[in-house]
Amino acid sequence: MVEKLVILRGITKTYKTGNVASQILKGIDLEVEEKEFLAIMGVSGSGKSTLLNIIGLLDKPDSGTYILDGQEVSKLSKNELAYIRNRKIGFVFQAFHLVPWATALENVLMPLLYRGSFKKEDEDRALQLLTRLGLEKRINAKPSELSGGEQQRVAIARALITKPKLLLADEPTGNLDSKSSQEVMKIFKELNEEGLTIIMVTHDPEIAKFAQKIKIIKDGVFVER
Amino acid sequence: MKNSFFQFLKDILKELFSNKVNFFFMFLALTISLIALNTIYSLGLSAKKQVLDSLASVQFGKDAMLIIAGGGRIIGLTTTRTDTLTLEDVKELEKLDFVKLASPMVRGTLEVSYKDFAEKIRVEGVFPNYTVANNWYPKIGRFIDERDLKTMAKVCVLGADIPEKLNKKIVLGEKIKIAGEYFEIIGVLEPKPSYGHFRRDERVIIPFTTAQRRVFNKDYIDAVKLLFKEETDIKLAEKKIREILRKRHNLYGIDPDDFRLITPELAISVFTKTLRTINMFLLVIALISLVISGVIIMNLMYANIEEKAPIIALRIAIGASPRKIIEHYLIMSFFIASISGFAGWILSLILMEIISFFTPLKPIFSWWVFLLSFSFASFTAISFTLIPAIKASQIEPAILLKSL
Repeated sequence: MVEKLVILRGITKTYKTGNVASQILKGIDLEVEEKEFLAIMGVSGSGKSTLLNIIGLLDKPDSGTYILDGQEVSKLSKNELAYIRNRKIGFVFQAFHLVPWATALENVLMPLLYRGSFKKEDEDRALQLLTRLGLEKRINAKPSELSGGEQQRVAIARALITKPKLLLADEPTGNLDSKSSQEVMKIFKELNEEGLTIIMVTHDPEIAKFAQKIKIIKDGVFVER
Repeated sequence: MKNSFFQFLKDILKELFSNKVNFFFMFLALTISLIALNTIYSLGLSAKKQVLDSLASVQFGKDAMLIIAGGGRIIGLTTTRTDTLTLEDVKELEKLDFVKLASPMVRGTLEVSYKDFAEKIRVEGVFPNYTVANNWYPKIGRFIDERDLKTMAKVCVLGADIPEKLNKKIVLGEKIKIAGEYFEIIGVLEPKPSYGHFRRDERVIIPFTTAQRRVFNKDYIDAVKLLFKEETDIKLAEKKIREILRKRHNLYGIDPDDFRLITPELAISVFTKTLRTINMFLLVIALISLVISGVIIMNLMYANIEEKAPIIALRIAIGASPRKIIEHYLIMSFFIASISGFAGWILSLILMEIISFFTPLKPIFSWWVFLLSFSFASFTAISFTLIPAIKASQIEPAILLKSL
C-alpha cells in the first residue's frame, strides 16, 4: 500500500479586504501519495497559490483538516509549523527568493541555520547538490551574478538540503526562458523519479505535462477536465 | 554547533552591511549621544575628584574648622556685621581642651604693584602658625616669624602664582608695593590646586601685626582657622564654639549668628552639591539624547525590516521560528551597540583630553565610563529594536506566493 503524504479534507479559506470577505477556497479535498508528482493548474485568482500556502504550512486554513506525513498540522503553533517546514518541506518560488548578500553556497545552507546543529557533512552535501545541478563553478557567486536559470537551480538546492519529503514549487519556471524552464523541469522529473514527492502550481500546460497527475482548480474547488 | 552560530552571525552581519547608509546612521546616532553621556559623566567624576583633592591638599582634614566673621549663607554675602570677631574671642577658644591650634587672620583685597604692573590681589595678615594650620609651606625662602610680628616688619610671602602674575622673575629680597608701602619678599609658597574661579595661589601674605596696624587698620579679625585634637567630635565642638561666640557677641534668642563655622563636611557638601546639580542636569540632557538616538534606531530598523520583508518571509518559510527572527535583529542591534559603545568611549576619552586644554578639569580614566558606555548603548539599542524585531517575526511567509 502506498502511503498518503498529504491529506486535505474540506479546506476553506476566506480573505477579508476591508469589509469585503471573499472565500478563496471552498472545501478542498486532496490526497497526494508519496512519490507522486502533482501539478495544480488554474487561472489567476482560482485559489491555487492560497492552496499551496496551506499545503506548505505558510498559512492556516479556516476550517478542514490537514494531515501531513501522518500528523494533523492545521492547529499547530507558528513555532511548530516552522519546525515542520524546516524538516519536511522544500520550497521553490517563482521569484527564486535568494538572499542577495549571500553566496550560492550560503543560500543553500540557509535552512540549516535554523536547526540546532550544522555539520561538515552538511556543507559537503550542499556542494554535492550544487555540483549535481551544474553549479560547481558558481558556488561563491552572489545571486546578482547568476542567470535566472542558475538562481532557480540554487533555490532547488536550498530546498533539497534539508532532505524534505515534499517539494512545493510555485510557478518554478515563471521567470525563466524556455531553455532554462526545460532544464528545471528535467531536474524536477529526475528528483521525482528518485522518490521525491512534488506538488507544483502552474498555469502553463507545457510545464504541467512533466507531472504524473494534473488537477485543475477553479473558483476555489477542484474541477474535472 | 559552534559553526552553526558562527554562520548565523555571519548572515546577520552581511545583512547589516548590505545597507551601509542605514547602518552608518544607526551607529552615528548612538555614538554621538554616548560621547555626550560619557564625557559629561567623566567630567563630573573629574570635577569631584579635584574638589576632594584640593580640599585634601589644604588638609582641611577632618579635625579642622574655619570661622569667618559675618553671618549668612555658607557662600555669598554676609548679612550681619563683620567687625565683631576679635583676638579675644580666639584666646577664649584656645582655652577649649579640644582646640590644638588657632590661626587668626585679617584679609582684604588691595592693590599690589611691582614696577609697571599693578593688580588687586588678596592680602592676608597671618601668624607664623598659618603654615601648620593650612599645611602650606614656603617653597623658597622663609615664612613670617615671631620677630616679624613683633617689629611689624614690612615683609611678605607670595602665593605661587604671584611672581608670574606680575610678569617678572621676582627674586627674594626685592620689594613690591602693597597699598602704597614697600614690602620685602621673603618667600614664595608652594603651589596648591585651585577649584573653579577661586585661585588659591593668588595671594600675598604679610605679618598679622603689620596688616592690622599698618595696612588695614582694624581691631577685629576676618577669620580664624582652628585645628582640633584627634578624635574630636566635630558636631559637639561646633555647638560649643557657637555657644561661646554667641555669648561673647551678645547674641540671644533669634539673633542670627554674626559668624560662619565652616567644617570640612560642609565645605565638601557645598562644593559637590553645586557640581551635582549641574551634572545631573547635563546627564538628563545626555539621557534624552540617548532616547532620541533610540528612536532613530527604531525607525531605521523599521525601514530595514520593511525593505527586507521578503527575505524575512523566506527565512520564516524555510524554518526560522519567530524567536529566531527576533534573535536575529536583537543580535544585529547588539552588534551596533557594541561598536557604538566602543567608539563612544574612545571618542569621549579624546574629547576629555581636548577639554582639559581649555579648562582646569583634568581627564580621568575610569572603567566605569567604559561600562557605562556599553551598558547604555546595549540597553538603548536592544530596547528600541525589540518592537521592530517582534514585528519582523510576525511577517506572514504567505506573502512569498502573492506574486500570482
